[in-house]
Parts: sequence; C-alpha cells; structure tokens
Amino acid sequence: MVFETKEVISVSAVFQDFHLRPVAFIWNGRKYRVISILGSFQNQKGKFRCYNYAVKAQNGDVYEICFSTEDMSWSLIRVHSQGDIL
Amino acid sequence: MRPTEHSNSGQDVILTPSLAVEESPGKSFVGRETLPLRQAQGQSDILGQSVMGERQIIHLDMDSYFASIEQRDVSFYQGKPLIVCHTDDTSSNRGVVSSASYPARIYGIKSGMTVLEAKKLCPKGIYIKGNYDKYLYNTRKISEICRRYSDLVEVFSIDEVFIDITPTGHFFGSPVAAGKSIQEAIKKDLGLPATIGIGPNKLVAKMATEFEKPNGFTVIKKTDLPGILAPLPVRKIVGVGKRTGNYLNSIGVRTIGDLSRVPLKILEKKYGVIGLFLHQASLGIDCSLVVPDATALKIKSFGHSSSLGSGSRDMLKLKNILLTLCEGVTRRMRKDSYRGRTVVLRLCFERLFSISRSCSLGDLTDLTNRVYSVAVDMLEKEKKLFNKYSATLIGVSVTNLVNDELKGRQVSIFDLLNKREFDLTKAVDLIRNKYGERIIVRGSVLNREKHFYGVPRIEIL
Repeated sequence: MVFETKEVISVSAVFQDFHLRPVAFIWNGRKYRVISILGSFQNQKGKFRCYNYAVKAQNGDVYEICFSTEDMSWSLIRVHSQGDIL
Repeated sequence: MRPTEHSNSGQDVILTPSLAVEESPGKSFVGRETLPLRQAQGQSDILGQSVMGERQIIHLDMDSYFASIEQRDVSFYQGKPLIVCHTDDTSSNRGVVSSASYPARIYGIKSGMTVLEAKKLCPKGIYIKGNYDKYLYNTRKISEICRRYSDLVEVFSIDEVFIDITPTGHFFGSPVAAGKSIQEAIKKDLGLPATIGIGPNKLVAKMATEFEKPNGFTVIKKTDLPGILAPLPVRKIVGVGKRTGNYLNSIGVRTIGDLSRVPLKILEKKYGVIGLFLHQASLGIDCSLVVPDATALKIKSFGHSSSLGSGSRDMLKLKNILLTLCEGVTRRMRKDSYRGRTVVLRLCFERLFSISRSCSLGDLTDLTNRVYSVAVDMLEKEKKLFNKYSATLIGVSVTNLVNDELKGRQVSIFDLLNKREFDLTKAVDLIRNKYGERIIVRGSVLNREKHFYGVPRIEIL
C-alpha cells in the first residue's frame, strides 16, 4: 500500500562521511528508527535544494522523507507499507 | 540469425553469422550530424571519433527504468507488478503508464497505456506516482559513470545513453570489457540493471540492445551484420513504425534482408530522404555521430499535452487547460532560451481520431499569451467537432525554433509592443526561479492547475 502525504516531521540526523544521514524520526507521535537508507537524491525547488531519502524503518516499511533548505525542515512525502502488497 | 556464442546465464550474446552484402555509399540518419561514410567506417581519424578499425559504439538502455528505481528504493516491490504512472492521483484512473516492471509486463502492461487500461489488465498491481526529479538525478549519475570511460557520451533520452568507446576502449582492455565494466559500475553504484549493446554505429548498437533484456549484453560485429540483420522483421529498424512497417509488409518486404534488396530509387520515390535512411539501415549503415554536448542537440519542438479522462466538450474548461499547457511550454522555452514561430494544436476525440492544426506567426515568440491566443483561435475553428465528439486529449506545441543563446536574440518590433507582458513574464520567471514552479499561477486556472499541468514532451531531432 502506498500512502502519499506532505507532513512536517521531526528527524534526528547525523553527518557521516560527508553525507547527511537520517537515523530516526517521529511521525504521529510515534518514533521510527531508520535501519537502512535505500536510496537518496537531491533536487532543486527554485533556488533551494531538497535532500530526499527512502529509508527503511524497523517495522519494515519504507518512508520517503525530504529535507528542504528553504525552511530547514523535514517532511514525510510517501509511505510504502507491506500490507496489502501482492 | 545464428549466434555462435550465447551464454545461458543471459549475460553475453556475441552474434556472429556470415552472409556478405555490399555496402552502398551515401549519407545517413536524416537530420543528424554525420560523418562521411569513409570516415565512419573507421578509415581515418576525425576528432577522435574514429581510429584504425571500425567504430565501437555502446548503447546503454536502462531496463524498465522508473520501475527499477522504485524497486531499488522499496525492496519489497521487487518481483511484484509495479506500475509507475504519470498522474496526479494513482487512486483515480487518470494519467498514463510511464514504466512497468517486468512482472507487470506479463499482464500486458506497456508504457503509454492509460492507467484505466492497465488497471483492467492488472487490478492488483502496485500503482505509484512517478517522481521525475528522482529519475533525472539517476540519469545524471549514469552519465557521470559513462564519462569515466569516454568523453563522447550522448544522453539520448532519460534512460538511454550512447558512448563512443572507439578512442578509449583500449584503456579498459577492449570496448567489450569497457561495456561490461560500465554495466557493473551502474549495478554497483546505483543498484540498477542496464542492458548494453555494442555495434559499429549507433543504429546497430541500439538494435543490439533489443536482442536480450533485461541485464543483456550483446555485441554485433560489423563483419557479421548482414547475416544478423537479414532475418529480422523490418519493424526492428529504429524509426520504422507501424505505418511504414505495414506498408513495407504490403509490398512483400517483411525482413530487413528483403528491404536491402529493394532498389534505392523505389524507396526514395516513396519516402524521399527517409528512403535513403531505410536503405542504409537495412545494410546496417549509419554515420551519425555521438554528440557529447547535450546543448548541441537540436531541439525540434516543445510540447505539453493533457488527457481529459472520459472527455470534455466544455470550451471554457478546454481554454483553461490550454492556457496552463501554453504556460508550461513557454516557460520551458524561456528556460532553455528558445523562441518559436509555429504553434501546433493537437486534439484527440474519444480515442477515435485525432487532429492536428498549426499556425505560423510572423515572428518568433516565447510569450505565453501569444502562443495561447493562437492556440485558442485554432481551437475555436474546430468548435463544430465538439457538437458531435468529446475531446479526450488536448496538446499544444511550438516548433520552428531558434535558440537565442546560439544565434543571439534580435529584438523585434513585437517585443517592444508587448513590453508590459514581456516584463511581467520576466518577473514571474524570476519568482519561479527562486521559489519553484507552482508558487505563482494564473487566477483563471487556479482550481484546475493541479490537474491539467500536462505531460511535458520534448522532441529532439
């Protein structure tokens, strides 16, 4: 199941090997620990840069999150849940 | 076709059969930069494109590209029928299929199909909205990997790259070794599958990638060309579509071998310069260059289109959509410093038939209102059709382009007459450059903007 959203979330991240790496985030009052970063890319929104990550949480679901330099905030963009998948 | 080496692992195919056909001299690919035939055959060194021996061109084709990227990012989509759609909302049936994973293709789903059709074929498939920024980012990474092997890299489309490995192939052992290394690097660095085709020119290299997918690796040597090409259907030639293919079949030309035996004069009489291309393609001849600089690509037109679901006869709604489409087209033209002279309006009616109308302006323009007013005039002229049919697709494009960066912008009297609009457009562009595309929209399209921004389309010669 895919769930699309655009919600500001709180993210803990570290700078490691010259890269920004999210390690955990809070969504709907619940904490999700990032167990792996599956993919990442950058894009421009006007003159601002966005850093996008597809991260796998400990519950097995994949979350697409984005850090925007426009307002220095993190957003949850899309949730891929294993439920209802063929 | 009699392959002499063919690994069961599905990794390498080296095709080497044996008929001999005499190559006829001449030009090649219509409208493309080409080498004189003798040079393209590798008999002299021109700009590093050719050294002693035949040219070695690698064609890299990403396998179900968008779907592969999504499957890489969401591991539990692997092995599932995943369909990447160009739509605003995957829960609706609007939009078209951009890419389908191989398991989805088993159900008959193909790119370009409407989401509605795809859902009928595979109701339990996973339908997700495409993220084109992500795909473009990966394309840039792929071209960076390719540039480690040669400077002569041409990004042909979002998922296809040509690499002229002739001057640098020997640094990696051989062009074949370089091709394998590129394929492995893309897998290792980006986690994406790619198919490689190697041939003596772009046409053959592109055809080589069609032999085996996904993760294929096919090499076609120049000496083996006639025997490999001859038994293939004419539709396998890049550029031969349904219409040309059907016509050729109707005159008894079913294979590329049959086509090579049709006298050039007959093909030229029927197809003009395309006839020459067909004749040469049937012999595996193509002198077009790998154009390394993307800016050197000659853009033919800018166009946007939008499907209208079950159809619409509402002229006001259609005009609003048209305005949004014109806005999108002209915005891209201004970004790339292009202005155009001809506006083309395309309408599809209930998937029964489509019409295309064009109108040339007296001068060049990149202003939204100019393009829109011409497009609306053409739409108004087709008003009668809407009494009978509903439009299911509307599109607008601008052709007859001039690049201001290459040729310099000449200020015309119309620029001065439209100074207010010119300044307004400039200001809006500045705002969009700073805050993003959707930060400012016209009031008349405010409610529709989300749904009818249109599918960007770019045609490159």
